[in-house]
Amino acid sequence: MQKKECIAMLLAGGQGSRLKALTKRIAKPAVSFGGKYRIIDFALSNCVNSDINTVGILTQYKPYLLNSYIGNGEGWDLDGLNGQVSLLPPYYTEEGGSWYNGTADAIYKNIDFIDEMNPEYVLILSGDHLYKMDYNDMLKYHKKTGADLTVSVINVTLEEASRFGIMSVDSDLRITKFTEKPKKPDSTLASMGIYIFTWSVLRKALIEDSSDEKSEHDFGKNIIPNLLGEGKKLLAYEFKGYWKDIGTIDSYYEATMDLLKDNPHIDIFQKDQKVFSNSNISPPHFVGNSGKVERSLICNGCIIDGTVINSILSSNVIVEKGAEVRDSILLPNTKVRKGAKVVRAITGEGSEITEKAKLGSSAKNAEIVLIGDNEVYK
Amino acid sequence: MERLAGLISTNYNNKKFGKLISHRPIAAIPFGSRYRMIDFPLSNMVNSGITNVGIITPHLYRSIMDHLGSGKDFGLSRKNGGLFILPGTTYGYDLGIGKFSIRDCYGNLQFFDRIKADRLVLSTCSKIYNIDFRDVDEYHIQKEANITFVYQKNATGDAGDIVFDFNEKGKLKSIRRLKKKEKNVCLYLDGTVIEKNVFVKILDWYKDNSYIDVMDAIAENLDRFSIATYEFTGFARAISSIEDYINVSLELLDDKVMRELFTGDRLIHTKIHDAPPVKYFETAKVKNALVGTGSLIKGQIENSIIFRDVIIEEGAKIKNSVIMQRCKIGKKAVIENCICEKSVVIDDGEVHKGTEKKPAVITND
Repeated sequence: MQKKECIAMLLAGGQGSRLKALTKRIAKPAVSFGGKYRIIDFALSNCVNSDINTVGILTQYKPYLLNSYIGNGEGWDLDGLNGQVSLLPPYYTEEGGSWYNGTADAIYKNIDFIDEMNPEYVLILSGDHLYKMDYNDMLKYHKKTGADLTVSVINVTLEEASRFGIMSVDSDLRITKFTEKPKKPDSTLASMGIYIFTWSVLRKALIEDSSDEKSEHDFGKNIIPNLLGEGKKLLAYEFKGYWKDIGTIDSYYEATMDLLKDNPHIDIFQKDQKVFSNSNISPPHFVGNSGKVERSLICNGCIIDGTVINSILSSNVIVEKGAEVRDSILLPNTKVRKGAKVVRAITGEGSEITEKAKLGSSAKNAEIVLIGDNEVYK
Repeated sequence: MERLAGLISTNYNNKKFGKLISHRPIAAIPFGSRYRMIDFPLSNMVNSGITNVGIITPHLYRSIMDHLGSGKDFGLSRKNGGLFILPGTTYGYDLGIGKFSIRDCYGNLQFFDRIKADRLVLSTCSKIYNIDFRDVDEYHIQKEANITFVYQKNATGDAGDIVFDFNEKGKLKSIRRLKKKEKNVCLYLDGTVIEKNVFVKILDWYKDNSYIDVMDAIAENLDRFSIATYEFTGFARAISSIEDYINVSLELLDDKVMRELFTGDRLIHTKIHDAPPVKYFETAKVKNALVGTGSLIKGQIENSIIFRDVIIEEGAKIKNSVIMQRCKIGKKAVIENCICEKSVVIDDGEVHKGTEKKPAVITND
């Protein structure tokens, strides 16, 4: 295989416990999003659209669906002669086995994999962020500035700043201070969890960190402050587009419903930065004689004989006669039976709303109702 | 042991398809919002567990090759077996009569020698139905037949279609070709299970007179074979003209038909495009329609088939029509009883109306 200039390591082991029932069965990057996608599609598609064709995916929490969804990477054209997807779960060694204990530890445990690929640079990504970005621009910047580490940053409000890793920079965007979730932030430049490291620098830092017993083996808490302390060249790369960390049910709902706007933040119809996915085989969707669809996104395999307004229907959703779906997100294989009503709700994969059942409330500021995968709501 | 291998002929045409076949064979005509005609026989084969499929290509085979690729989307990109492209050698075979020429098969004799199969499943791309050929094969074995034909009772066929006549005892009396449209016939569904050695023997008999159709060759020698007929009772339609094309397309909007063809265990496979979901806007109105992915809908759709990546602007009205992929229908345009070819752009306010009997075909030419 040809030598790689840059490979991506995609952290996809997170549980995402704040997404509650949505991640009960599957890892957060595998959660269905925007009808036919799963959250990880956005980071993977960014890789493909940035000509990064080697991606290591680090899995840990309930990986089955993620593994089968990624497969050999062919959905993203990552199965070519000169590219590949590698699923990298924690493993057992002669010294015993252990889980990935922190983001840096996950990469440390896969030094062999990265050495095998022998890249100049390593791009670290999260599998649970929603954005479109050309990593190539960031890589060019990293090379031009001769940085050891480039951190992609986004400007947030002062109120939000305490939820992120916050950076102070000088006039050349060189990072002078990095604080993880500061109580009193002195900057509004937030880390997006997207890093490009010069591999030799990262390799050394990971090995040193692994033997530090006090370390939490986390990029934000340990690796970056350590490199900063050593006087390495750390630069911020400002990203101007839309970026969202889907952390909670509310932010998941908001980010999904945004797709229904005339000019959404994430344009899934854009041809030059296409979002790829591992498409399932389903027939075209069918709207029957009594069906009505307004202001909605509808996926293949849906059969609609009821009313669907301002909603997102993922693959193979059934809405029977007399049923009404409003302001809701129906994940794959949801069945809404005759006369049922679903309002401001998120229904898990394979769930069922039985005949005449009522789920959710249209009252203003009512909480988004969530039912889990394969749940039956009566 | 792989018992069955498939053979699909795409090297035939029929002038009754008019403009729909000016750049492609019948097999490559888009059908049913996201498929092409060939997807039906090919899916029937792979869904019957067949992993060796030969495709006899026509003279204009770009669209077929583009659609099938390596066979990956049909699960036929394999080390062992898979998809075999068998170049057809008959050219100008567009009289709407034969669909399976001996010459095309004989020219690819090595394919039959090499594949590990006892029996072949033959099919064309002109009949739309969803069948498990394993059932036919089982019947074939049970009847100890050399050849088993799949047919449907009380069907409608057009000129060139093959029908079976049975005697009072239910025994196959004759095989004949229709000269014009006929209703209530026992229509051959262009599906056959045949012993490989019998098939190769027929090719050998006729190698010097090879412009003859396989079915005509069998009909001439009916007494020399043990022939069984398998009645298919599900939804099946012959598509032999533009009129058939739009009528059968709109028949897909029948809830029962749609479910039988598309939502059972045997899904129809096709080339994967990975388009986004369909986006309906505030002004959209849709009733009785099949809609492919990637479309943006602001106008009205009634009783129609919409393919992938179609744009329907505000105030546009589509009724009883088939709109193929990447068409753009302008504001307040009216389309009724029409077939819009791929990538056709209809300007704002344009009106196109065909009739139920004679649908209009709109192309870019």
